[in-house]
Amino acid sequence: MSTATIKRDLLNSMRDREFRAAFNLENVYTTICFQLRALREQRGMSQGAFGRNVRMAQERISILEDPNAETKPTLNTLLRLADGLDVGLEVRFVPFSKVLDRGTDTDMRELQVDSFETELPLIEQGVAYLAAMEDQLRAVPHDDFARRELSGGNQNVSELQSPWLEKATGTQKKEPSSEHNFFLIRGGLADAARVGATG
Amino acid sequence: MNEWSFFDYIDERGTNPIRDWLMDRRVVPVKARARIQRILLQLAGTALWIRPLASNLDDYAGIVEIRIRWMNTQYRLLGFRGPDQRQFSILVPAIEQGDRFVPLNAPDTATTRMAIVIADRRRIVEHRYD
Repeated sequence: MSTATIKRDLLNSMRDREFRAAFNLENVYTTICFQLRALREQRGMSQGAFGRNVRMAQERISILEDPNAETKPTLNTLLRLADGLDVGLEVRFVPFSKVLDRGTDTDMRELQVDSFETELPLIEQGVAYLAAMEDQLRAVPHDDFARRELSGGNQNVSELQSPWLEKATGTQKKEPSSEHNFFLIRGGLADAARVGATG
Repeated sequence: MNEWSFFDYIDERGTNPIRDWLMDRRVVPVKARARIQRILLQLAGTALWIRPLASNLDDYAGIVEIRIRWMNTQYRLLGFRGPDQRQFSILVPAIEQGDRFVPLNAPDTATTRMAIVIADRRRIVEHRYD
């Protein structure tokens, strides 16, 4: 079944406020449960070893990974898990379009997150790359076509960013797609680092 | 890309007993349906299903139960991995009460329906998530 069909089905039910609220709740907790499992498996740990890592009993980890469990993790528990895993935690209100996206993009690999130490080289590359981009922007005359493109467009940026990308990442850049350009301009630090690293 | 695609059994009259069950608010309240659908979506993206969420049914070869609890009700979706790779066919919806299925013959029905589906793949349709 296509993702569009699944989204259309869900959207149909989401017109009902009760379903919408319930799905939102399930989306939060199911994602958390499966992401904890994904993080644990990414680190090659049993529930017991993972529990020791985050200072929780194996039984508690088992409950936290169970989407049927009556007990739901609190924000404090999630922060404690994030601290133990050395990963960030983002809690924010979002439009339902995001809920729909999250609810249908359920690939377990997407739930894996590197620890800060693992991610650090990528973050540093991203910072260097963004600094280079900002220098490049400053060098472009006012009202230049490229400035307009960099601030909102997605075309003809590859020529501008190409030498900087190589300088920032030390790699030969493949020809970026317009989607990547858009991603770079609109995305944040981590996005830039990711694209910078993969080219 | 999803690891699994879910399908529903279609009976000899062409009706979908899985969908009928899921959309009957007296049997499956809206909030329970939201949980069932969201968990199925997550399982679709998960290569390896583990207990307690899913397990093989003892004494019924090939039958897998997906276990979903909402409030005090234990919902069970009995099905099998197939007929093709990366497909899971839901054959019988049930409720577990005190170690017994309601309906009581749910595992037998699932076994019968599994054979029907393997013999005739027109007896399943893609699961709908509404």
